[in-house]
Amino acid sequence: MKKAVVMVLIALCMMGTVSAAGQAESNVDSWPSEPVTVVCPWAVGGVADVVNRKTATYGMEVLGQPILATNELGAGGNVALTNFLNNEANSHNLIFGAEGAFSIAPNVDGADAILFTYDDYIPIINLYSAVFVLTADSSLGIDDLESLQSYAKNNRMKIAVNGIAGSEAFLAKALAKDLGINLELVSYNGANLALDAAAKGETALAISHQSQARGSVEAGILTPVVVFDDKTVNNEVYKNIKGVGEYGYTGFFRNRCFVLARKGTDQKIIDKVREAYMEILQKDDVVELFNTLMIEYDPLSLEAIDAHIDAVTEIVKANS
Amino acid sequence: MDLFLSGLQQFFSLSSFLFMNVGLLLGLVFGAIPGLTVILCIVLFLPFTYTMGPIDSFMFLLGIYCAGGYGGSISAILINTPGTPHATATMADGYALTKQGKSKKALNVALQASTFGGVASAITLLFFAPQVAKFAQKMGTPEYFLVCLFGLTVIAGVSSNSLVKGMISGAVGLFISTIGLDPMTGSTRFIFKNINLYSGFDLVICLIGLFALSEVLAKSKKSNQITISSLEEVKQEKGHITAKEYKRMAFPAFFSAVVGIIIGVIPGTGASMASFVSYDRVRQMSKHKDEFGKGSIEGITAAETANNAVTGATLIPLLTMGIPGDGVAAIMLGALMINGLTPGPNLFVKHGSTMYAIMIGLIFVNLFMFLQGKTLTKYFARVVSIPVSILTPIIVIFCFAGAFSVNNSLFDVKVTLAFAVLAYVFSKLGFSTIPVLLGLVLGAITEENFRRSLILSDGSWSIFVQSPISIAFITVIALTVFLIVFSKIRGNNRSV
Repeated sequence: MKKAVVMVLIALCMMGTVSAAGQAESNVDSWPSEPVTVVCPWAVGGVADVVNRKTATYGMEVLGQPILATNELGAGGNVALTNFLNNEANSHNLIFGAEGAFSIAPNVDGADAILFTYDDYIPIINLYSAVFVLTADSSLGIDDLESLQSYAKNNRMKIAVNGIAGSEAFLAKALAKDLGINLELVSYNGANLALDAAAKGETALAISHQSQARGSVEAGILTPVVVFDDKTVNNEVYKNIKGVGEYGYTGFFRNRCFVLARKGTDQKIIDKVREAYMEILQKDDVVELFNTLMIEYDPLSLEAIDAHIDAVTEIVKANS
Repeated sequence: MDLFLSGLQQFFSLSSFLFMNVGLLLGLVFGAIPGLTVILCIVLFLPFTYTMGPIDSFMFLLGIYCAGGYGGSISAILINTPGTPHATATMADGYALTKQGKSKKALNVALQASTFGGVASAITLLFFAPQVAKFAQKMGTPEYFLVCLFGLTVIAGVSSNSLVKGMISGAVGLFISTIGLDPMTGSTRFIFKNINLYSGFDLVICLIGLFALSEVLAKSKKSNQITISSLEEVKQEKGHITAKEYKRMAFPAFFSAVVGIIIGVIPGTGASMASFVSYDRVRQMSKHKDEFGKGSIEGITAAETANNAVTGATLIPLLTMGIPGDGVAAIMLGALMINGLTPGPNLFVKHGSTMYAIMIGLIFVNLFMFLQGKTLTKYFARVVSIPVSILTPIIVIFCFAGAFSVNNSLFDVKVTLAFAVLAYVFSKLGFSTIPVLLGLVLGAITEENFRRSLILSDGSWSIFVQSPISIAFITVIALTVFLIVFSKIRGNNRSV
């Protein structure tokens, strides 16, 4: 009798497990069963926010559910990424992240306040890539790395960067090390102010995204010197500007913005979202927006995203 | 001239006027309700602008921006709670008039001053943008620091009766502004391993605690107060401004418009500093100093003209150099970029007629703000006849919702409560909380520009006296400090 009861209980447990597994399977298959929220952890009106809001308009078309674009600010994105840990796997909430949170923040002052690591998330897709550009006060006659190097031999040089612990600061340090020159970093509260400093002659150089420097470059106030990439940039604003990589240097990286899910999220969901974004990123108006913002469609493989984080971490550690 | 006419033609469309007025109405509502902010309003409605053209989207955003500036004064005047940080300077005189049963008059003065400031700023943008931009380009980090330092002297003017207590309050504000990441070295300060303190405190969250919630706490003691004014009293008050009063408003309006425009072109300073500086300077120069804080229309005029004069001026560095002076301007920068307009010196060359359409539009935004405000003043004024027992819980709900909405964070709600308690304790000890806000507004940018100047000069203090603008500011600061000390000594001698 006892044995029969135990057998029945085991059978019930197995049925329950199978049913739960089936339910989970069905939840994964029916995902998204509700609107998907995509959190941009950076400022409203910035490039990432604009891209988030634009791509969100295609949610219904590609996922069958609306995408709700939202912002959660604080600590350069770290507050939102911390709060995102409250989500469980397969949740309907996704978040943006970039190398700043996973490669820079854990290796600078204040790292002890950060409760997340890159492993707490699964990257779904690299939404876009942006190439940084080094610009110089036009009156100095610096227009490539050779002229920069020769100018730096006889002059103390200051470079304006957006925050002392931002991507631009580490790119500046890495470049100075590679060129064997002394570049003194001056931190500004925003890339636009950093560019303005170089335009006014407060500093000799500035680093920013291409789109941010566009106005001053077009007006001839700032001269592009080099881009932080492995190849030449040639577009209507930046004509044949060589990449740092072409000079044989390795201390550079692109700014990349990933869509992330919570760790443990089912591969089927990851694939579904990735395919959805791939489709959105091909839409004509999205392509046009990317051109306007001077950012690139660059859907890296998940392994390439991991490699990007590791590479930037190395650069940061070497220059901290 | 061709560009001007072409801009005029582009601007005059039904959609421009429609979106402008929708934006104005939203800005008025969000600006007037404590806790709700202009930024929140723009964030909520920003997606709608993505499908609009550049002129319509700018009319919509400028409508919110300008009306939000005026809207903040409505709650400051009616319920002693500023809807926006820059309406704080309006609060003392505005609410004093409300308590005298002159809420409509206070609202009218604020509306007319705001409109004057806004139109003056828009005209400056339209006709003098290149000259102002050239002036702005001559101002660098050391000049920014000196402007901020000058702003800090205002603490003396808003310190109630005790300069020492005012300075202590200001120092508390300055200290709080240091919490977070060091802007120059990136090291952490007073964050106690709490990620929420990484970026310091948002000004709006502090404002809600310091003024809105603390006012609720203060009102809770006055349990016998049913309404601020009865509905009959509100209906009977005409709120007309007499010719004599207009005469008294003239100088503060012109002076404050100039101050607002100058401060508006300096990135990061914004409307709060403009309103406080104007209020303080006008008070110093007024023949009726004693009226300030007790219902002075000159005080309301100075503060409101200055904070709206910032709106057009902020667009000058934005459009000509791509520098957003505040959060709203940063969002506008995004709106420009989406429409393929890259701010910078070439913007007027490549998209001249669109730019002229936007600049002409700003004048109309201010005129329609006046019309909407005029129409709605009588309804706004009725707020004071709502029973306190109903009004208070509504304010509290908006305060908490507003504090939460800034970063979608419960931590911010706790911060708001902490600031409310701080303000309550301060008021019990006879300390004014306005210097705390001034310290918060100016602390970070003063420190940043001071330290950056010294980095740029390799530690040499001579950087602060290298330009005529710097020397002019140093002279004004020295004179101001001298006057403060002199009046203090004279006051002490009189009391002896």
